[in-house]
Amino acid sequence: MEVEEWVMGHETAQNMLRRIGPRTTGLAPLVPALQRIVNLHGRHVVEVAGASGSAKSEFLLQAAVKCLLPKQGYDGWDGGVLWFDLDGHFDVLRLVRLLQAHIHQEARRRYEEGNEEEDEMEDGEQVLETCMERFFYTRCYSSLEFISALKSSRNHLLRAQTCGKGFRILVIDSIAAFYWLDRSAPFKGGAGNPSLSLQGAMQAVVRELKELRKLSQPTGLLVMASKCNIYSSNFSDTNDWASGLRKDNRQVDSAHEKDSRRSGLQQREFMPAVWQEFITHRLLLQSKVADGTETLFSAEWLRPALLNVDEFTINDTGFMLTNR
Amino acid sequence: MRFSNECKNASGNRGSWRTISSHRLREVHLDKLLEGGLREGTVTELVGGSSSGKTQVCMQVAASVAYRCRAMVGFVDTCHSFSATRLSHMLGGLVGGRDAVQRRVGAADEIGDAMKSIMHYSIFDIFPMLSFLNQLHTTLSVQVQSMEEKVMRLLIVDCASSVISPILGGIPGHALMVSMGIILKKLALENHLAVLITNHTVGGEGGHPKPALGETWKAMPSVRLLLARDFSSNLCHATVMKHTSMVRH
Repeated sequence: MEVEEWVMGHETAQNMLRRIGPRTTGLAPLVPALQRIVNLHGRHVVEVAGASGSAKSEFLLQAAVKCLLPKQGYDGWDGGVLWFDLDGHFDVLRLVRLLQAHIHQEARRRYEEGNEEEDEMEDGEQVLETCMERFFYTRCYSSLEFISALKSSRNHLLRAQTCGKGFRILVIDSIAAFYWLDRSAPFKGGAGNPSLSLQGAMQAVVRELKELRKLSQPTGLLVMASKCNIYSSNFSDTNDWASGLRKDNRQVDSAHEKDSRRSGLQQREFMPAVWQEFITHRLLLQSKVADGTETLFSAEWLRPALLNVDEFTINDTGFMLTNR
Repeated sequence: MRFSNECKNASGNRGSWRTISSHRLREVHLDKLLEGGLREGTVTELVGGSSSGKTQVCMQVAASVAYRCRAMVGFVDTCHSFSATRLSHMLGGLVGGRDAVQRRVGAADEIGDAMKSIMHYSIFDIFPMLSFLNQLHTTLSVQVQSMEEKVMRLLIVDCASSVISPILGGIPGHALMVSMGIILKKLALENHLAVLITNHTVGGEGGHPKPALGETWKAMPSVRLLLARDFSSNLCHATVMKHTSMVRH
């Protein structure tokens, strides 16, 4: 009977977890030091915000390294990484050094456990090569180039998926790199008039990212973006009458102003509303003045709002927590 | 070529590094501070107060690269502080021997060659600067490299802040500053130049000087060095940003 069917439902919760579980819950954290509570998987969009020099690109690099490494032994995601470098700060040697550090650590662990040692060297080289083959890097010098690069990576994504190794992470280093350029472009309103203003560019970017995420079902595509602070903490901009940006910011400001006030300093949110609605997680990084020889960084999750602030330092194998 | 074996490993990805060379500077401590020298593909910023030696360091770097690496150097001078006589003295010091008698045969030729490979440009405004940088990018991109000719390896912009500060303020000013930053990075990455720019300092919070030109410019260079002169000696500190590792004092 219909009522009976309606009461019984389509599947039990156990079946549903069995269906989608491996895709979301079976994944190791990308940056274990900062992800003790927050778990990231393919349907999330993470924004890492902070002032210049606060280890945002380093965070993205560590996450990318963890994603490239294979599952066995390294606890990685075994997937490809699409890296969009918008501010030219990527260093391939640092990536190689991080991968080598992880491989050496694993080799040492295997040696200590008394397993086979002869194939270690070639094994390590093999792992390094497969990891580097899965890393794709694009450099863009304007918003238009970025949007066209996103469009052309659709084919790439589909091709990689048919080969078996799909892309798991899409990294954008500094989503705010062209902020001032886009803001100085003249704003033309209206839905049928695509413009290269900040709103138009961000709308196109978000549209492309959603499209790419749709294409990478069922594993999903985790989007991680870093955002550098444009305004220093005591800056007051009285100049933005143009383009109605202020109105938009004010409307959505309530949720994000609460975020920033909790963190104790006024981080002024300057990205347009369409981007602010797209992100699901926000992490705030800060660098502290060091008294010794090492620089301390602090991390705080703004969304989901966790109250504790982690302090960590950086070395080749990852972030090391210091406040435990 | 310190990083060449790592480069072989990295050849599997789509990055565009063929060789990465570091230009070794004369002062050993500066080399050590920068972990090998000025890298191609990066923008290095020298920050310092007035008369802290920024122009001297720039000229020394230009002399060293022109003489040792046999490469062309572009020196963009925006504040009329370049002095050819001082440069020739520095080159004389590099070639060896202060006394004319002590110099070996052909040293004058070497100095002359090195001087010829340092191109000096005087630009005092942001728009000529942007058009010059774009033109340089086009010229270097279409240049066919032959074995005898020298390639430009280093670009120095002495006092980038003196062309940017007058126009900074409001949205169009920031946009021009960002576009200058983008073209400098494009030159560094695509034409394989090491770019060295200088910046002056302004008063920050607590009395500590901070680099001028604001937060947006702070994110632009990859490496930043703070120069402070201590009356008798010249102290060099590396601060703020270096994306491969953090260096402190």
